[in-house]
Amino acid sequence: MRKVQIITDSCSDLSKELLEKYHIDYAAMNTVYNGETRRARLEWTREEAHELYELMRAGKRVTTTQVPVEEFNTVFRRYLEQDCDIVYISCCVKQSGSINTGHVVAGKLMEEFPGSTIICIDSLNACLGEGIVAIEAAKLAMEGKTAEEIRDAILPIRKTVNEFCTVHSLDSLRRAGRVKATSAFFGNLMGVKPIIICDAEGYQASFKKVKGRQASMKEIVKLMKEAIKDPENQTVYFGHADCSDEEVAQMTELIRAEIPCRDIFTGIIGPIIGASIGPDALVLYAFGEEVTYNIGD
Amino acid sequence: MDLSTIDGRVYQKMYLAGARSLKRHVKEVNDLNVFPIPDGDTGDNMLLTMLGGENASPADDVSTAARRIADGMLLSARGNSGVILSQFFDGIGTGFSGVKDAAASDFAAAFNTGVKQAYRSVMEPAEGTILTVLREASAYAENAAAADPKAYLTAFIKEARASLERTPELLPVLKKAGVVDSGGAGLIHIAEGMLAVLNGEEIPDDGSFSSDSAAVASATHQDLDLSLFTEDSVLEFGYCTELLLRLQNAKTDPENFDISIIKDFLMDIGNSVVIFQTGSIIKLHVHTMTPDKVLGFCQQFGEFLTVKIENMSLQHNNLDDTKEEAKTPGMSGAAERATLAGEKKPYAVVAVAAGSGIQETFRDLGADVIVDGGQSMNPSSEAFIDAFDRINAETIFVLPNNGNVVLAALQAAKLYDKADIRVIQTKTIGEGYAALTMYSPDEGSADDVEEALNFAAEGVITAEISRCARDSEFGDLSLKEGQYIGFVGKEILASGNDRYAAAVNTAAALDFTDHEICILIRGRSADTAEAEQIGRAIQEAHRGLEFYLIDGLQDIYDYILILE
Repeated sequence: MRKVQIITDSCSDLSKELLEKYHIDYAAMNTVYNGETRRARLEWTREEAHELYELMRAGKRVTTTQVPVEEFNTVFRRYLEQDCDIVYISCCVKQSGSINTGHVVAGKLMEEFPGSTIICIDSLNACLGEGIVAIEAAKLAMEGKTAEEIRDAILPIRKTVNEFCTVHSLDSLRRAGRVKATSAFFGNLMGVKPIIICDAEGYQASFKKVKGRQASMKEIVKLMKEAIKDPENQTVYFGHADCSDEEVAQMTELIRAEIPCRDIFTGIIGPIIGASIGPDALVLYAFGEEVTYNIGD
Repeated sequence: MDLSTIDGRVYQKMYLAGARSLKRHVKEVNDLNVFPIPDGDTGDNMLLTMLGGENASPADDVSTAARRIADGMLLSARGNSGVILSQFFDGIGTGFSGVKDAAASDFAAAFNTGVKQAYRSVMEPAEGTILTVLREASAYAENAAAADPKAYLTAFIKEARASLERTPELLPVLKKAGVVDSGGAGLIHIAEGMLAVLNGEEIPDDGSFSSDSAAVASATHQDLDLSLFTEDSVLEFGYCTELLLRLQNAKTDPENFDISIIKDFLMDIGNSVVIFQTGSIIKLHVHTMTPDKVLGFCQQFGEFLTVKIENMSLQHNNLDDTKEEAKTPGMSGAAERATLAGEKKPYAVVAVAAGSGIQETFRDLGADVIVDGGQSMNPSSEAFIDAFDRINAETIFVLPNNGNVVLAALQAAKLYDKADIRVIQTKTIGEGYAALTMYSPDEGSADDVEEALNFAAEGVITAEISRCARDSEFGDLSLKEGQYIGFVGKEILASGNDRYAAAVNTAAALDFTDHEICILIRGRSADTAEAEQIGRAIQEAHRGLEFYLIDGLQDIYDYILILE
């Protein structure tokens, strides 16, 4: 029986540690700044991350590109040549078109490698939300499940990923065209913090506002506490975009105090999501109730 | 002239003389200001309120005359003292109900009703104000068992003066500022004018009401910006149309004319219809897209004495979208506001604000209509009603944003029945701003939205920095003209010899605990560089504080400092 390799992309924000622990590989997207294209590496150091977020804090605009054809070719081949099947867990198509490219490349490669299987799955999430779907897939792969079995197990859990995010302002997300907001988000809401979730369609939906950073931090923890299922057997994944050590510690403390989870993973939001969401974002992920909220058009 | 009882015509004369008497002292009343800065123009507010009753049609019986005067005042009422005054006169109207010629005892009963109603109009009646003066003077005059109205008013005024002198003992802030209550002082001038008529004295009229202060002038004659209605403008709000029609014997039977014929017609082609008839004169007010039809219809029955037609786009120059910045499609304020005249929406917001930058900020945050005004120019109840009329919504939330505007907003809400009006009692620009930033028109019931707005306004601190217009004493503090003071409500927190020092000292005197957000609104007279410097000083003193600067461009307050 063929081994299955789980592949994700730069949007999954899985750290070097998690990638290694779950034997996950990824296809890289690129950041573009000042005309210079850079590979969006998830193994980046805290310093490299700080450098990118400082650019954005200074008002510089960093853009992103989806996974290039060549990158998919390289990454998929790497495992096909080892006689592995592949399950590619992608960023939600509402946020990135990479899965479409992946699908085309996969089709060609499956012809070139007869008997191989590449399944592309839209995670319906982004950031660590995509990452934890990939982790679930990787656990199944490590148990020896086939690509089809993994697909069948993964499809139904995608909407049970709960995301609760807060940022200082929607400016970055709006510039990147990556957020839908209700009409409550008119104007320059100085000091008002949006609460963003990943809606049932996979859109980043700014659905609620809270006054002040402290309140917004408490709010996302409260929302997660309400949404999470079976916390005792779960890790709460906490991502941040180069927040201060104090804030990270405070957030961790809040989670620990409110949510009886098994453990907390803390990681830095990667370059691709970071370029859209902007510095100082805070986001929590865990599995919970199925997400039904739909921000609509 | 027998003055043992007062008929409608004499009552009206008394009212007009009262207004004239106040007018002669309006500056004095304005100057009874707690802080030596040019705000809180009680005299103007009371005078403009009186103005609303000035044009009431004459009536022979005091019951009708008092009612008509009171109705006019309800709409023109502005400022706390103005609203209280209008409620007092409304109570008098009720008290005189059914009385043809009022004797001293009728005055006593009517004034007592007026006092009760004045108290009821205020949520938390404060003593040491016009309310106290009204109450004590009415009680005293009633006990004086006056033989005629003249004696009643004489007694009323005697005690009112004594009561006014006691106001600083009841209200510490008056004592600190070394003044008596301005509303009470205004009331005495009105009562003196009324009494003068009964003494056979003439109060000379200083010309039209609109000649004195800037606020009075701007409220009665607006500087119209004609560029607001261009070759390409679409008539959105119609015309405010007012006229006096003299019914003609040649055209109809003036004595038996049924006014409802005109009223029904007006309701068909417009809204905000106010119409009444006195003798052969009909006075009407309507907002309509087709004033020509009003004229044509009315001319069937008579000829016009006066006609006033104003394009309401010019009157209300606050829906200007030209400065609207590009936003994410589907979320622009302009698109949202386009529904004003069209489809009915569940919620809308009316906010009171002065200063082009503050007004723009409020519009940007989703306020549908801005009522121009604030501390130095309190909008009338009628201004609110006009604003409500320009909105097509089930529920309208009102942000008065000034303690002296809340009552007029509440009075307008009571008078209005075409929408569910909910006054969020924001007493400062800071509270209004905080509330509006948390406005979520897509979420929940009107109760939910109201609760969210109220909740957001809670705990917000607004400090204001302004320049002293004259030397004065405030408690132990000696203030010189040209100095700056920073205050929260009626409490002076700091002073400084220049604007920067006053702003920084004020910030230093504020308690930042539990506040994460600081917003500085720069007035017209302050410059950006200085404002940014103040911002840096505040941020240095409070790590982790979020600081934002708004170019408010307001008058009077050099800076408004908000802690959320």
